[in-house]
Amino acid sequence: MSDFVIETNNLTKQYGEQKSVANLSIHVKKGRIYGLLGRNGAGKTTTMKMLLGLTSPTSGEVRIFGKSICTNEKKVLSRIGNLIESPGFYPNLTGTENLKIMARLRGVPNPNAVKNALAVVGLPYMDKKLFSQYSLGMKQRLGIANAILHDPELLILDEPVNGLDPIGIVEVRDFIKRLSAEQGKTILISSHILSEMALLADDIGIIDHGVLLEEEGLEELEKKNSRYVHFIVTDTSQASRILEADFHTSNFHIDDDRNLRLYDTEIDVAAITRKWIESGLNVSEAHTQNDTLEDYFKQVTGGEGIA
Amino acid sequence: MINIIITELQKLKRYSVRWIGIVAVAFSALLAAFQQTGGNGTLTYESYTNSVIWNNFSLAFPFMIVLIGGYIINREYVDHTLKNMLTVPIPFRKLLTGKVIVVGIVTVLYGLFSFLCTFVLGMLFCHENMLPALVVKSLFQLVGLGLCCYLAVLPIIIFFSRKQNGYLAGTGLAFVYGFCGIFIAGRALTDYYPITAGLGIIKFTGDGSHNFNLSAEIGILLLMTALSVAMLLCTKGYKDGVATSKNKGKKQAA
Repeated sequence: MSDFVIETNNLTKQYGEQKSVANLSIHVKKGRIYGLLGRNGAGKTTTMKMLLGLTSPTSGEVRIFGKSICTNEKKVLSRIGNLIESPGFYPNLTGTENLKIMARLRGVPNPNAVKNALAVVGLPYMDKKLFSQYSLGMKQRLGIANAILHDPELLILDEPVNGLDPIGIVEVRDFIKRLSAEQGKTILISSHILSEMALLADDIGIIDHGVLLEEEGLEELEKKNSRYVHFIVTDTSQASRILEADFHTSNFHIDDDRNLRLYDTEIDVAAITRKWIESGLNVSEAHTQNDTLEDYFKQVTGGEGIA
Repeated sequence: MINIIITELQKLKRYSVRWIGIVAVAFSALLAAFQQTGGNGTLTYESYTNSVIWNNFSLAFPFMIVLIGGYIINREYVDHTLKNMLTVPIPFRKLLTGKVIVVGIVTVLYGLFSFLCTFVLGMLFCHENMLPALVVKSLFQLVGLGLCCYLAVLPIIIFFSRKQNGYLAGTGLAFVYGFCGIFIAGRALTDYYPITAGLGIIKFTGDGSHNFNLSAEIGILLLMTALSVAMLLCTKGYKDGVATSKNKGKKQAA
């Protein structure tokens, strides 16, 4: 059985001539927070809709919990909580009434499930305020409460912090982290806010114009984006041996036989260069890189940055 | 299915569209009272009930049932709650079936309300002839007529349920469909026109000149029921606002 809770294989959604999602293959590991990062209109919501069976893919396959969503919809969907696009509830009912309806339909056995879910997102139980009178932030919180109501193993959240105030954003972020860390829930979350993803996700998939450009762990990405010294030398193997023997560091990455990145920026670059030259190596370039995640996003998408 | 029906009834709470039904039913009974008191003869409870029945099938019930039925289905699109239902998961067909059953229950309740209005106005205008047997008969007639109208318009509700705001066209159609019943009732096609097919079943006496073909009427309403069931069975999965197999790949318009 696959190690991935969500696995897509060349998932494609085409509207007329335009591909909204093209050959997308994402891999979400169990117990991890996977951030789907992309600009507005990049194809994040369409991808999530296909994962939930709300939109049928033009081609490709979706496997959730190792099962195909097409043939196991009932079994799979009951294990997923979701918040897609704007939270949809009945405006003539209160938040509690709305959640009670969902709890009944989902067959939630715990009589306190609604109360607990509302408490988690900081909304009052049995409040008389109708959903139509809710602020955007309250609506978003109720949407999250609905997603966790039946204690699902997997959460699919489409831009869950949209409309929340700064304190609300921190609360939801902490809550999502807690769900993953303490309860081992797998979470797929989409956002166009790069800083938010950097604070929340364990793994990140960068999507642009429906194409998955990058899929990596946040640590790896940060490594790529943190400050480092880029050397171009004649022999990176020999250069690395000198770094380990004389400068006692292994915090570097050999890109190929000429390019080497040194992440340990405490070491004197002049001393390294001198030592390499003394050892018969030619150093043609040495410069400090200080990329941010946004720089990296620009580089990957080949365009403008992100919020 | 029981849970769907219960929750559908819960969703009706505070819906303003219920008042349209209440006004339509009350107006139907009130109009009948004015129509009947306008004549010179003594107003009997039976003739008054007949007049209410006439107004109900020709004016109030067909459009009101389609309006309320269409509205409660349409809310799922407008309020963006359909995605919540589909990811429970509740298939669109099952949800639609639950809603259609609830519309039937609501129709019975409006039938009871129509009886209540008829009874109260009957107390005011028909001082004589309000025998208990006639009152009980009117209860069954008004509720029964409501159900017959429901069966007659059910295919319209189901047909117009697939598109957001489609029910508005359905309501207009239902009004014309009901109104045409005025010109058909009492004539050769009474037993075969679905809206008027219930008249014989509920033992509508009218002016006494009607001879109903009961088996034809039952057959017609069974046909409408079968048509509705077939339409429900043919309802495809709802994805992206379109029927998947027919319009695959087309962008949702709404």
